[in-house]
Amino acid sequence: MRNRIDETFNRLGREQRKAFIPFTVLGYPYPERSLEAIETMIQQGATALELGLAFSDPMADGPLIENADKKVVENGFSTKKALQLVATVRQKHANIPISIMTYFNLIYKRGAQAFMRDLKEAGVDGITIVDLPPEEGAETFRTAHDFGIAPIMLISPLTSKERLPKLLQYADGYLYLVSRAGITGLLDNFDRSLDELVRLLKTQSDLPIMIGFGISKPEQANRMLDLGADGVIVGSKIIDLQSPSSNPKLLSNFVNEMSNSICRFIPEKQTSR
Amino acid sequence: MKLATKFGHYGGTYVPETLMPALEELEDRFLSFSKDSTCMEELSRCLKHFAGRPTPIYFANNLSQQYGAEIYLKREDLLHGGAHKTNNALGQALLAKFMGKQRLIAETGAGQHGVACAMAGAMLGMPVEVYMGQLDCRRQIQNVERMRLLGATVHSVDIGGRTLKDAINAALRDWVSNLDYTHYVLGTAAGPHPFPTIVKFFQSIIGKEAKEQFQQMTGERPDAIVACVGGGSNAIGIFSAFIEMPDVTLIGVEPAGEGLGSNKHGAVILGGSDGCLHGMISKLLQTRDGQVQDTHSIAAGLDYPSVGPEHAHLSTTGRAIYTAVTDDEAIEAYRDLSRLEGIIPALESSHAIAQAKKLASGEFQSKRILVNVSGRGDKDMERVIEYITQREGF
Repeated sequence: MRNRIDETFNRLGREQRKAFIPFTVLGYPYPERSLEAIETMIQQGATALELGLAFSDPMADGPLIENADKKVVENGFSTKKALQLVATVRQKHANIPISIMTYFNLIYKRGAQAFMRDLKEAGVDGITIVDLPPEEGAETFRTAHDFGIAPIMLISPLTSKERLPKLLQYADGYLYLVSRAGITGLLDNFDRSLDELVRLLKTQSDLPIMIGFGISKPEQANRMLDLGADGVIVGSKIIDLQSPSSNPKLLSNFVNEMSNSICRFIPEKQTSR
Repeated sequence: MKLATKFGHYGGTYVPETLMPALEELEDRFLSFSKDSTCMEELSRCLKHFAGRPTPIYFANNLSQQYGAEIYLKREDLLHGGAHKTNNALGQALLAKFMGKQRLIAETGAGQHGVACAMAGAMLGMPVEVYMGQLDCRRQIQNVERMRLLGATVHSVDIGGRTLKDAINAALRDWVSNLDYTHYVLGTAAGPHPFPTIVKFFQSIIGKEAKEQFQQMTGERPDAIVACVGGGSNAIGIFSAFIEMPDVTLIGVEPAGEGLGSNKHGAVILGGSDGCLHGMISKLLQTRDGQVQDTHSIAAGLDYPSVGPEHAHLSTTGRAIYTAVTDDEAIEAYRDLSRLEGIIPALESSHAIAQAKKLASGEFQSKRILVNVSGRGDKDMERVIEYITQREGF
């Protein structure tokens, strides 16, 4: 089966380039503005997209994403509408990898089979389920695989060497390394052991490593690339720039600046130091 | 994990990866703590001399005559702090100390768990921060002031329905960000494993005492045990000693708010479906998409859209029966117990009293009904007067 995530990272690998993945919440702040923002991100050089399906109680998210989720849920923007929005993006952009980030209850309520089928039909390539650890997720992750949806596993600075194989057995697409033990948001208190963790991950898995949480500036992104990450994910800053009062130009400029800084040619020698 | 993480198919550890190692550590240390005789002696000592255990069972003669059954009350309202919450707060604070954690955080609905944590923190010399929904802060202002007097910091949570659910979200976010030195004292028998098991362990003292006391008083077993259920810690505490006795009917009482037909209630087992919130699979009030719904109850401590996973399990197996009582019925019971027995019960506990009244006029007429009075009702005075004034217009 065609997998856009693998194709994209294989190409980046050959070209020795890095990935920039912006995150936004589907339907935020309004459906039309949400679509415009996603179009902007693609035009300004996003490597892939991570799109949040809003949940009423996002316990791993800081105030920016929490408020965005709340607003979208309050607006009555359903999962169905969110996936229609994804399908619209997919029709225009056949090749960009799209993954969904959400919380387990939306999947549990719908049923994993039906949920993954819905994702596939909308043109989704991967899924991150924030509150589904490998201990509870075996069946859901297998179902995702069956539908050609890559389970993108979150790895924490607190994940022990012993726990890692449990996560990696289901992982596909790329690994999402969380930059700190904490929640999403603009604070840049990155964990001091990130470099060790990146090195360890490279010995345990061939999947690309993306680092996220707390990255909102090109310098921070480049620090992560220096540690050996294959790219970065930026969420809260994007949501901040998407607030209804914010000038759309600011989002466009930010994504442009980030992708120019990140998605450049970085020779192997430099990154493997 | 070493212990079973689920009750039937309810429970589990549905949490972000960062919390998994913390839950594993917590389970591991809890097992050591509960097997350590020095720790258990210290807990017993605190429960007896600091908290005032055992609490008595009282035969409510006047209420019995009025309602038409033999009604006995387990007096958790007499526990230090004014509610059963102290059993768990003391236990977990000692556990935190045993684990080497320096800071306690907690969520609270009615404020009783927050107060209990603030007391335990003051006694053990540990800083306490409590998350409380803004709406609950307003309707339980007296408890907010008590927590502050006891030296705790109270954070008013201003998002969502601004009640218990939102306070738990905020506490979980704090915990995941400060794991190395913080213990999250979850106040009810809910949340991810091992919390439901830990909270049940500390609250099971209610059932152990009640079983023995009731036997001594009457030479018999109760025919029915009634307890209110929000998250369900007082109920699981008293049920735990009787689960293996099939001739004792266990009845959990949920908040029907303005009526089960309205969308303003918190009857999760009666009106909800299987779902995942706060780290567990349990019953959940939710939309078709799986978004969590806001709840309503006059009792802030019952105002929660999910329930402890063991209650969901006991309901499924039929071992316990779950019913619901409206705001109006709870207020009536609050006044009944106050006037007839000189005991002002918490609005939460008033739900259980109201259910006892229904049972006494039905299949448990003249039978022995043991009601867990989980807390005292001074905290609810203002709310009740306001409610009665609105309804009766005086």
